Amino acid sequence: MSNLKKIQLKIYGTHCASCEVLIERRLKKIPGVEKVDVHYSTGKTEVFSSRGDISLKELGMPIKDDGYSITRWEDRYSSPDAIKNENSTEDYIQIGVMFLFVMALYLILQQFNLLPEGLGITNNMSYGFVFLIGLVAATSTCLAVAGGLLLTAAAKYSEMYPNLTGYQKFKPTLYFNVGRVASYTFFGGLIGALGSVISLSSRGTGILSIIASFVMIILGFQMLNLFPWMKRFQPRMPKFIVHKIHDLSGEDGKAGAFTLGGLTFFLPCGFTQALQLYVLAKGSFSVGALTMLAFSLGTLPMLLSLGAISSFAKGSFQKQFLRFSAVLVILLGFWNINNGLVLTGINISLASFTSNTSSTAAQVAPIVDGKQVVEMKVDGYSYSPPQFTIQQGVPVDWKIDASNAAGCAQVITVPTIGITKYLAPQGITTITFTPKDTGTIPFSCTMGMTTRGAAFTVIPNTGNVPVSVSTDNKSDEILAGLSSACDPKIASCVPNQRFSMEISRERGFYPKSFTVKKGVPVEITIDDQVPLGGCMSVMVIPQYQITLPLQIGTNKLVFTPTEVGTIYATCSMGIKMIQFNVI
Amino acid sequence: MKTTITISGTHCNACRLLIEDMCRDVKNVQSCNVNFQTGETVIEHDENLDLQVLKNEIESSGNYVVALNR
Repeated sequence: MSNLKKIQLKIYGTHCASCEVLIERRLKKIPGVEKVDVHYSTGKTEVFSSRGDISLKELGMPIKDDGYSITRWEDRYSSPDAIKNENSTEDYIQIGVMFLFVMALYLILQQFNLLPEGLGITNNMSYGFVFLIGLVAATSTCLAVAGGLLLTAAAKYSEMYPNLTGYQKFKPTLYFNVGRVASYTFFGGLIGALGSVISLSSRGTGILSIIASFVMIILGFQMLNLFPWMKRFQPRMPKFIVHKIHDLSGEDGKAGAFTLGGLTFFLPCGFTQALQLYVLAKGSFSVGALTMLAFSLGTLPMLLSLGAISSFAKGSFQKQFLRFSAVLVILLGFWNINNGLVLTGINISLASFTSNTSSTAAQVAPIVDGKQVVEMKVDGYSYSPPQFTIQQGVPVDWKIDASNAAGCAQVITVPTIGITKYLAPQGITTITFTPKDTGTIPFSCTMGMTTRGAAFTVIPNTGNVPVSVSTDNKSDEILAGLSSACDPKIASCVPNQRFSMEISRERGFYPKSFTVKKGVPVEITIDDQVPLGGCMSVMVIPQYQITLPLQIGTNKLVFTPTEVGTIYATCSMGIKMIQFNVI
Repeated sequence: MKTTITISGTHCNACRLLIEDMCRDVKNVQSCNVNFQTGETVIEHDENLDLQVLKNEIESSGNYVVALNR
């Protein structure tokens, strides 16, 4: 063995593990070749030969017809094949045009308000979009594996029951897909629930969505064949699980097809994995279930009509379609990264071009009575204007009109200065704070779904306004809301009605309802034992515009019911948390 | 004599070539034609071909599963 000669080669055109096996088999047939080692991701190949005179041409011959080309490892950059296998300049231009096209399309649609709420890219990732991702994913090779399994199951079925009519032959396909959709929904929900148990802080959510976004961007680049080396980052499933799934395809009948379809959830596919991460970050059973349901439905058309689509998926139309999808996936990934960054408290506007008002340069806020006054409107999920420039050390009166705010945008959170506030649907909500340091103060809704890049830019004091002596950065409004004074006009002054409740893994919100007397301040000590993420991190009593960020440990909710009836405390998106019966 | 089998796990041209390669190495097989998109594989062979041997050979590579249609 010691006299074996090692030859290092670069093979172009390798893209999967099958290529490795194929090339190794072919090259081993050359007389003298003892051992071959191929790495498909890099194309690096080592050939061990007992003959010293083996030529490059001889090595290239057996695989030339299969579409591979070969060069010495040292020549891998200078070889003409190196250029041939990369995208041509024309390809790059086309990809660039595609990027511009998608962005222009988005801007135009936004301009004319044609972006439906359900498909808005700004709206984090909506189900409509997840469905689209499903459609795209189904045309990629990663789902072809599922398709192959399906065909095997179908073939097995017709093998067992040879005299079937057309519809009956279609049955296993049906079972397979029902199993698939059911399992995606169920496991999606499970992952969501898992996410809520390990309950990520908004920071954790941010980090997870950043990871998921990176996976998506890598997938997009792969589809464009831009950075082949990125292949290495694609997560993989241990081989033995894949084998287990493949083994099952040998089983017969409906249950087999159903189980098989269900198990495809665990097949390694970048798209599925990215969504699984995304769902984990969302931390909710229903969101998880619905997201994966939308995705599996998106993949359905393709899997139901395998043959038909794979023949359609050829030629230049398919090439452009793939590029369009890839560009979409990449841009979406960047958007989501930005989302994640907002949640982690970092505010780098990666996608500031999405903000429809960024063209109007933010003016330094005017000063009225020693306070800087800024006005903002909340429209759906967007802030207008989303950016303000304010001076250091001068109190800010931030007047917010939230009459058109949607969902979680009804609560605004400013992580860096610890303000979380419910925005009244009528009238103006004013938040007062004093910026202590220069830099940016990003703000968003508690779920990070609002206008990206929304922030205050704090500039050094220009000197024409006295610096406020106040060192209290907390909003006075919040403090006032928490300590409603005894009002003798409503009722005689009696001690607060005191209650306590817990939020725990075992009992959830316990107790969930309280009976309280009208006109007497209610004081509830909430013992939060679990970290609460997403909209649940903030408790709101919309009726009294009270906002209480829930933190692990003891939280105090104080309010005075003024009317007989039922009052709810909700999360920032309006989901009911506790109920008060006022008598 | 012709037989059609379905192979799952084929996702690209390399799979097609690899399987055709392995398939032709099996005794009594004359030719082998794989459609990697559908996994449908047409084999031309003698009377004496043992399909089980063929199945084992292809599955031995670890990436594919063979279903023998009838």
